Amino acid sequence: MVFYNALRNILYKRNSVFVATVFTGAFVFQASFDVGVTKWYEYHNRGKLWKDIKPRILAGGDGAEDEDEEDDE
Amino acid sequence: MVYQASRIAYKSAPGALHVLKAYTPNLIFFGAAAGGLVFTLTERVPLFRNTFLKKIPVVGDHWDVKIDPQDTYY
Repeated sequence: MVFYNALRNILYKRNSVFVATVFTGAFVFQASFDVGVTKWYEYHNRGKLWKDIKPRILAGGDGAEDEDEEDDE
Repeated sequence: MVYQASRIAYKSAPGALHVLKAYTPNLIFFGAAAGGLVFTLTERVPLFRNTFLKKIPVVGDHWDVKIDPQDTYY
């Protein structure tokens, strides 16, 4: 109850404070959500991403390119 | 007929400044809200990114996307 009273007095009592909290919160959230999802995605797909395989490809590949050429013919 | 002469009771109006003073905190917070909205909606706009977001002290690097020139057309 104390928590909700504090929440009301700090956040909801003044509409301008509430609106400002929502918009700045949205700004902070979209940036942090982006960071979080990107981190998870790159961890989940580690080893398959361009940044991981780029040095190998540029060094001449690991044979995968030759196989592709055969498939094309 | 009774002729009544009444005086007009003058009294000073509160004035716009008084009202403005009372609303100042609200106006400040609504200004911050408007700023937050602009930041939120223009986060992906390159001009806005380069002008403001990149220059935020600690977390500015998040919007400073570095792509190897080899990997992009631009």
